[in-house]
Amino acid sequence: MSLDLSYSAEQSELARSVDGLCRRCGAGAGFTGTDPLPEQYWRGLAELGVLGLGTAAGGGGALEIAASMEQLGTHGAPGPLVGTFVAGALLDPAEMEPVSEGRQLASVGQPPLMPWATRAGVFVEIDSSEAWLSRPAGAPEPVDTTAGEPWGRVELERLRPLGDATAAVALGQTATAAYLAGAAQHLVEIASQYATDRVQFNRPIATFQAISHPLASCSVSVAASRIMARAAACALDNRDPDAPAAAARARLSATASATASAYQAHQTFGAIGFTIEGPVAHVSLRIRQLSLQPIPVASARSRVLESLGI
Amino acid sequence: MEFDWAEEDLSYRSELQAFLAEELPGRWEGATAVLGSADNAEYSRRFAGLLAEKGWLTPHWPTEWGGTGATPWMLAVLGEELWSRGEPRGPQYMNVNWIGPSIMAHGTVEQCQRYLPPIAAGDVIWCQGFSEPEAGTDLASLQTRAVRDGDDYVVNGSKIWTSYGDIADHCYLLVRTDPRAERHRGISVLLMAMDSPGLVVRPIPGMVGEHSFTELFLTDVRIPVANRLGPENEGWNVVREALSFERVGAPRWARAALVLDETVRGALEQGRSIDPMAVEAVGLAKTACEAARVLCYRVIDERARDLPPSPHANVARVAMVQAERLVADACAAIEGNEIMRYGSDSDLQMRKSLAAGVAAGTYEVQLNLVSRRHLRLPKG
Repeated sequence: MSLDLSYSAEQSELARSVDGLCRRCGAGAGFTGTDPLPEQYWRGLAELGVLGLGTAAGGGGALEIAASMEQLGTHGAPGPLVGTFVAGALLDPAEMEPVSEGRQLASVGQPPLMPWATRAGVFVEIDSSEAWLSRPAGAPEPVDTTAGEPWGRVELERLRPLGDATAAVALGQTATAAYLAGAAQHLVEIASQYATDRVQFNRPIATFQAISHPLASCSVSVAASRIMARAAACALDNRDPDAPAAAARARLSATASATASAYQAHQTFGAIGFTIEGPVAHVSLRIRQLSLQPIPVASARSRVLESLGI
Repeated sequence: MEFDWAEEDLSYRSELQAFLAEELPGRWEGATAVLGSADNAEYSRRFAGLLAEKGWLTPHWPTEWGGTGATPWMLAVLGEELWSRGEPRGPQYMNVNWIGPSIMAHGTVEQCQRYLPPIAAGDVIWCQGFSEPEAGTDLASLQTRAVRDGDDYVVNGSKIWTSYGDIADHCYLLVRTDPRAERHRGISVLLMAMDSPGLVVRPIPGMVGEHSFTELFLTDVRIPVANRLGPENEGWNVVREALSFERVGAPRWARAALVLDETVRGALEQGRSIDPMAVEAVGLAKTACEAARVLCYRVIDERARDLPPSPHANVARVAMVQAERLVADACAAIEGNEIMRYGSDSDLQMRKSLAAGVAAGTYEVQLNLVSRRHLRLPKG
């Protein structure tokens, strides 16, 4: 048995680059303003090669995706991230090229409510085991989402089957888990700092166990989620037959720990957490959204049960 | 033993439901449109005016001030029906539930004559100036200072997280009038006109529906001494008593229960499959709503019997937070992606569930009170 879940030097360098990009583009109201997808940010991700990770042309694999997504989650960064990676695992290089280069957005999900549908150029319909390259039968009806993303209700026409989607779904689950783990870790860290700084009743609120214990509990589950996401990414890159189940477990773990961390961050920050300009709301709303889409969390439960023979 | 509605409560609920079905646009869709937001302040005034005409805005008030002698149970029915529809009274639920009663209890004759009739007519909006940047849960550490100058107080300081501050006519303001006194003493309540010179209101956009907070900045704001509610330096007791009028606060469980019922109904009507985890989540959420309901009813029963406030109110508040959270989880489990449609009932429920443990007294403080008052555990 060996356990080395640290990223390689190259993977760490990629993570640092993604972090730097998010710091530049997400500063101020970059990720909380009215623009749901700042152009400079998305173009920057394309230039770093993040949007093409996992494709034959783009190189890299699940670990590079996980390393990037942990950073993106830390910043509560926007965009059809999971859908892009899932599309990369399914589409031909020529179909994927405009998505990897940031010229088109990929809408990956289950119709009729499709992610980023009003802006997307590539549509992929996916369920837990199959996927289809599709196109909209009409103009999508715009639907704003919880996290402020421009989705759309649209009927899709299937153009061609993309085959077995098991590996792509597993990659999506892993990417989701890594993002959620990064976001949850960030919330636990800033909530802990706030609890240390915020004085009420003449003492830092962190000295109340009602505040510190739930944060400690969240940090335990977040630590597990991070390890599980990285382990799932390893399994995927190694083509381990357990990879789909590992990815599903990571997704379930991250969904639970991130949702709990979002609740606890709000509890710790109090009213400031509910302001649009505050440090919590945009991350917690993105956690709620990512915990549900674009790969349904129910599919992760089914996969775990299936792995147990249930 | 008895656990049933009286005939008069049932007929009141039916009459109220018929009225609401007619008055609220689209009943269910309308609920989100009128969710106590600044944009819908005018709706609140119109709707509260209609309620006043029916005698349903302040039914629990003494007849002298426009009440009809309604029982606490009828008031509970009113609260449930209105809150579950998104609280179309908007900010005015505070007026009628505790600001008006507080003025009745502590106000001078002039104050009662000036402030109560507009509240009873549904024609005025109040906000509460309580929290400050450094005084949130620890409200007694508030620092906004009021200094006597002739017939006025001169007030300096700031208030934060004031709902409806940008649309209110008056503010129920907590200030420190004696900075040398022990922290719970030296606080007074002032009734401030929101058009007072020196008062600046800044909206703070929030994530829970359209409802936004405001921040109030007070610079040499002059408030007549005649606008002080109750004795100088004894405002802490005045406000504690004021908030105890509400006891369990808004019946948040009623909204959560309706959102759950409607979400399940919608899924069944559309023939959507509900996976076993979602089924379990629905069961837990439904049970939690029922738990909150009966625990709230225990508090209403106390009031109906004229018993003093008890820890049962804290127990009920904890149960309501749990119910709101479980309903949000259940909606997410049933609806999947659809819960993310911004402004949908389940989306709003999810946002409110994040706020549930913070608004109107934090979950942790309620648990402390349950520990000490209900379980009689020693204070840490």
